[in-house]
Parts: sequence; C-alpha cells; structure tokens
Amino acid sequence: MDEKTQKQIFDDWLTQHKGILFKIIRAYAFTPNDADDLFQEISLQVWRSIPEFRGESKPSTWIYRVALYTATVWVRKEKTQPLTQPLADVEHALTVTNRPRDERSEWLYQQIGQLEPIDRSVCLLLLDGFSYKEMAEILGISESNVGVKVHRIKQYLIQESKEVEHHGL
Amino acid sequence: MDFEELQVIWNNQTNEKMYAINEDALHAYIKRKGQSILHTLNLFEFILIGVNLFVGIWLTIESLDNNNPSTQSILAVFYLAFAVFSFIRRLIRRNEEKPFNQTIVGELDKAIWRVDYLMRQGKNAIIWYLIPLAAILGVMSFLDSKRLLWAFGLMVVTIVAAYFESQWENKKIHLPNKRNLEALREKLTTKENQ
Repeated sequence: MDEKTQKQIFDDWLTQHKGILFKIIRAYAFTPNDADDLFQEISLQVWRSIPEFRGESKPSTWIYRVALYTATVWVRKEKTQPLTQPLADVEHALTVTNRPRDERSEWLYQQIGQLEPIDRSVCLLLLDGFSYKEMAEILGISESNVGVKVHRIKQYLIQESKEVEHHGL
Repeated sequence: MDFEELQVIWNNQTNEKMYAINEDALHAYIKRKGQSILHTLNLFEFILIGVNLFVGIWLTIESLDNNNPSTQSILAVFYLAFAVFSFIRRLIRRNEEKPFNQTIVGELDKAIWRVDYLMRQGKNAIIWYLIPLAAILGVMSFLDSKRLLWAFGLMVVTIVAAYFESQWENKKIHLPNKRNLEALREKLTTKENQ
C-alpha cells in the first residue's frame, strides 16, 4: 500500500470515527497532556494497522480494537514510565475544549476510570452496544468470559449510581 | 439507576465536543514515527544479511587473490554462512508471526512473542555470531604468526560488553515490558479474577 492511500484511509477513518477515539481517551487519560499523548499513540497504531486491514470487520470495530489495545498497554506503561518530557513547548495534536460538559457523563467516566484497564475496555464496548459475540471477537476471549465480566461491571456501575443518587445526580 | 439509564447518559455524550484535533501536528507526528517496529526489525535483518554477505564476498575475492588464502577463506565461509543463517531465521520469524489472531488477546500474544524474540536475538548474536567469530580469529591468530591477536582480543572484549549490555537490556526493558503484557493477558483471559 502506498503512503498516499494509507493517508487517505487514515483521514477518512479519523473524520468518521474520531468519536470512538475520544471516548477511549476520556476513559483512559485524565490530564490534557495524557490525553494528547494517548491520542498520538492511538493514532500512530491506527495508522500502522491500515495495511493489515482486510475488510473482514467494520472499520469502526477494527479501530475500536486497535485503540483499546493501545490504551490498555499505554496505561500500564504510563504507570511504570510516566511521561517526563515537558510538553509546554510541544505542539499538541489534541486539546481539551472549554465547552460545558454534562455532569452525568462526567460522573460516568469517573466510574469507568476507577476500573482496571482491561475492564474499562469491556465497559466501553458494553456501553456502545456491542453484543457479547462481537465483544468476544474483539477481545479474543470466550462469550461466557465476556458475560462474567459484563455482569460484574454492570453490578459495579449500578451500585455506584445508587450511592450518588442521594446526592442528586 | 438501572443500566439502561446509564446507557442513555452514555449515548447523550455524542453532542459533547470534548476535544479538538490539530491535524497538522498529528500528521507531523505520524510522519516522524510512522514506521512500525516490524519495519525496524526488517531493516535490522536486511542490514545483518547485507553486511555479512558483503564481507563474505569481499573476503572470498581477497582470498582468491592472496598467496595464503586459508585465513581469509575460513572467515569468508563464516560470514557467508551467517548471512544464509540470518536469511533463514528471518523466514522462520515471518512464518511464526502469522498465526496470531486479530483480537486484543492476539495483539498481546504477538507483543509477548516479539519481546521474547528480541531477548533471544541478543543471546543468539553472542552464541552463534560473536563466540564463533572470536574462536576462528583466536585459532587463526596463532596459526598466522599471531598477526590477528589484536582482532581476537577485540572480539573477546566485544563479547563481554555484548553479554552485559544484553543482560541489562533484558532486565531493564524487555522483562518489565513482558511482565506487563502477560499481566494484561492474564487479567483479560482469566475468569477467576472476577
């Protein structure tokens, strides 16, 4: 594949599916610098994955898989080798906007952020309406294993929501 | 709140413009780092094959022009053999990489396999390249009026340095990386952790 075609596909994917990337970044990175760093890392991995894409799955599923894998590995790497380079003078590829945010979705992301990195992947797929079969195909685990994880995550989210309902969420 | 209500909250976020992308900065970053690890690995293998092939051919030509060809021809055979070995090793690696499936577990398996491969490469380079080369140079330096003794000494120092460098690299970079990847895989695939 030549670079021009690769760039064309990448730009199309970025335009159509940036929402997926934003959700994943919001669930895994909690500071503007981290969000920028993770966005660059995910974009890079998506770019590198393009020549391997055979069209056997939807581009959105493909991007989800690549981005979730990258974010999960990034979080662990970030724990052991935190970002040390000062980013003040670096041109950011991603910036956080000042638009008002929905308090409830902010709360939901906070709860997702409390989960283990792998569970966050399951949680995002679950909230985005993927079936157990699709989730099993993306993650590479059995449907019954997905079922166990989903059950636990649902219980956790419902429990947390009950606790904050008293505070007027 | 039940799960369906949480899903409504989730679905409503599509209108939130949380981030803005700077496409120029992103493309500049990708241009800088776009080549994959696989590309670097391919380049390394091609250089390894090319250099050994070049030195092997050059020594073969030299030994044919020389009055005392034994020294250079032994080295030439070694270099040519190593070029062939590296080429075969590359073919094996490419075949071994194919079975990984395109899932997150598959990606983790592939990454773990690559870390193992990199760790093996360092060890293999010492055992199959530097030690035989040092042994040949050692034997030849004594057979050839100790003229190549300096080269033999240099190889011994290189082997010791390569050994410690490889140990350090494994301990500080590859092993922690591998443990991280294995922990993620374990977390994803084991039901008992729930």
